[in-house]
Amino acid sequence: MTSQPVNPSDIPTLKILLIGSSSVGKSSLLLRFTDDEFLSPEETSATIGVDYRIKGIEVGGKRFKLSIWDTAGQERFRTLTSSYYRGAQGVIIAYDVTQRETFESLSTWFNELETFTSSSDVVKIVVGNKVDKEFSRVVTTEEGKEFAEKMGCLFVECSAKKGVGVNGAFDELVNRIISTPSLWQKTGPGVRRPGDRMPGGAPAAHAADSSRGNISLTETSGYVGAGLGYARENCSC
Amino acid sequence: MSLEKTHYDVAILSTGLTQSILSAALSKANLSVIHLDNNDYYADQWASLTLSEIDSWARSRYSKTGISHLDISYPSSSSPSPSTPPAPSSDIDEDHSPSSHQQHESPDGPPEEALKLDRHYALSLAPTLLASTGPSIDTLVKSNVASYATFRLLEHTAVFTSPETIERVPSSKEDIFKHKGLGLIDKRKLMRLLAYAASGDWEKPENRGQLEAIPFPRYLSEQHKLPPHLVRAVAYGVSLSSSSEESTLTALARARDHLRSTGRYGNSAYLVGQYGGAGELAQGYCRASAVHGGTFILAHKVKSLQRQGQEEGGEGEVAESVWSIEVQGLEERITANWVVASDEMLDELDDSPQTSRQEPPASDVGGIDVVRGILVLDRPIDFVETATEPESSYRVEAEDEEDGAKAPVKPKTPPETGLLVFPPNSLEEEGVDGGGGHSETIMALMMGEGTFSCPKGQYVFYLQTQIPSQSPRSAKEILSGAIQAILKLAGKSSPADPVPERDGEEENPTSKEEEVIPILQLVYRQKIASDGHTRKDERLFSVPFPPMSTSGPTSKTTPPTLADLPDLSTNQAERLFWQIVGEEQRSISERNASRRKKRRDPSEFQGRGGRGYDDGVQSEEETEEEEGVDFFG
Repeated sequence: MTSQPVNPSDIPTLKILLIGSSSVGKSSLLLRFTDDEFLSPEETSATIGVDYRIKGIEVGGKRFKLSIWDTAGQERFRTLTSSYYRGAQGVIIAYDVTQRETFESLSTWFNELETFTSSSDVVKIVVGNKVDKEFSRVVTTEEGKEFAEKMGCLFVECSAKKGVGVNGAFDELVNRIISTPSLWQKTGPGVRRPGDRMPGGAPAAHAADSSRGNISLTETSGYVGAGLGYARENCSC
Repeated sequence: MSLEKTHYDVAILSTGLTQSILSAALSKANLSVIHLDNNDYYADQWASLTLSEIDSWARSRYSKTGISHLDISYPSSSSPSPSTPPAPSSDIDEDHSPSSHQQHESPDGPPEEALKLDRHYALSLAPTLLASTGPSIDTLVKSNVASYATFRLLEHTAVFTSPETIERVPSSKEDIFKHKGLGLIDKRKLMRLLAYAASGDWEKPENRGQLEAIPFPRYLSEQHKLPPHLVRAVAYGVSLSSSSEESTLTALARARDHLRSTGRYGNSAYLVGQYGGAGELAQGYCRASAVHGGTFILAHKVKSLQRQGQEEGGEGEVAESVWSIEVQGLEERITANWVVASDEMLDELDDSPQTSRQEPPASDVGGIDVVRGILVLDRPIDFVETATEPESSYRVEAEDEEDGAKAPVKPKTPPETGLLVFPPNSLEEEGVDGGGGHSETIMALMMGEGTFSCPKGQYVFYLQTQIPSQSPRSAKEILSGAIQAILKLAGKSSPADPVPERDGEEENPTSKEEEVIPILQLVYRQKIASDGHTRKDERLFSVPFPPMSTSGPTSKTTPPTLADLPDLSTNQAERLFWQIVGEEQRSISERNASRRKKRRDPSEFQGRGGRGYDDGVQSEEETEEEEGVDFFG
């Protein structure tokens, strides 16, 4: 199981989104998974400052880069930007097992997904968070499971606070994405796939890079020399 | 719906690009921001809309001030000929059965075929080219909004010369080198001109006056002895002059910027944003604002804005009076110390601050309208092919060769992005619809599927020019010549992606000059405000669209070109930022910036003929930064 060194830009990037009602613990899930941290409620009243996190993982000897995006609090008034949804391969739809309305509103989040994601292949997982508060639970595991089945997606319960089941949720999601190669495999240069939607906004090389010639300002390009004219590194003129 | 708090430092009305940049900058500087928009989509006048959204946008605009002569149609779906309706090349993804001739009208609405792919359209109300250097790109990178977006290089620039020919514009050293159709003498003249533009010698005071007075095309032919076709290429293809009267000083400044930008991301000065460009960037800045705590409410009409006396702002800081904003669907009123709004949203308030109503449209006399057009076709203009034709035109070696070095590429990928410039009066002989000509430059920006502006196999063309406000010509008349020319040029190229075997009814691929019928054609005139942002009142700013240059040397207003818009918007946002946080903060920021420069790691300068900027010797206090806010520090 040795993975030979790869060119960083060859590692496929998977874009994963978090959505769900306010204060169900989306940011906590994210921080638990990427940094293995949990901030107490006083520290995190509402999402400020969490944008996206990058985490490298290895599945079956193959390396992947996850870019996981938080809502930046824009879910509060349902003002997530359409660009937020672009190019996502996986979506975590979270609710709070102790707050019934967060569970009830799952279907509106599915509608929103329907509107803004153009590929039906996008892998979805319903995540019931805060199972550490077992005593105040109001949504049963069965209910959650049933709903997820109805929507044809994965289901997991977890606790970001205790760190229970969080990695499992991400693992399941990622495994499902990886077993759907059409979601992430690069197509040959110049080959365009019908209806392909580029993952907009992934901070590094895009996963389904079907369109040669996309330029990301945050990557260094192979060109050098601003100013008069234009030269390539190996330019002989 | 209720807010966690109701008082904010700044309330921003409209999520246009300028407001969005400002919003992100203020949030980042720890001011509390509430950002409102009447629409249920982001970016307001800068938005990228789906087909159905742009349809309803157009319908709602018949009644709006500022927009006139609007005309929207879907010619391909209303075309009576049943034989070959150029059905929007279908998307296999969506799997609808071959050649569904279901043209159930609504003759007025978008064709059903296209509506199936509604979300694949991102049609921009403010098409832009992003210069690879300059304030806009710097701010994108500084704010990290660049990481939310991707771009394409502008692949081609060409100048329209006659209904049969377009000439490629040699706009960089490399282009000129490789140019086969250019004589040696012309090459030298061009190189000298570009070197002069890049040198900045023309900026010296002794030259300025003279250059200011002489129109650029005349300057090029008289001083640089360029032949007419190169004058056209440089004036309209490189400097993007909007008229033949543009002063040499202005045009040289643009040429210089163009040259500085060329090479940063490839052999073009410009980038084209994906998903409609400016609208996407506005969304990015809004997200950045939210990440730093900005609160966003869309799709709620802002009803009124009033001055409200004496409100204790808490924390000792007692604001004398605040703005009070009533929003439909919100129980409580929102209060804010500052308000930044769009012209349009201020105008639409039920109850606007009576303080300084917009000065009556006296500006109508000298005013200018931007004329815009959006065309969706099922095929591109072939920028390379058409340029090879007659001897009068010249061409750069085929694109493929450039890429050849990197990787073997399929023989010919269809063009993805291109700018076709119609110089003033170049369309005169066309004579369609009572003279399709126009005495000012018309720009046509083409964007293909790779820009995610439209479904696979389709191309969006954005047209833009200007006309004096008092002219009675309709937008359709003004643009008809250019539209006809584009359709004709497109007719010579094959449909972008011949759909593999459509049950027998295959067209003969060699059939030349097919008639191309647009899927969408939208044209309108848009009044532009005379000046930059205006202070309506103490702590109330109104942001006009499009943003105008305030510092330009010319007294005459010329509307911004496609390439000017992002920078103007960024500058507008920065000016507003400093006015709100206080000009004294700007001086602190500038002092800090120069300290930072001094502190640069000497290794950066290694190999550049010196040890370091200042030999690394400096005292502590010189490098100590002052406390202050920054425009994306």
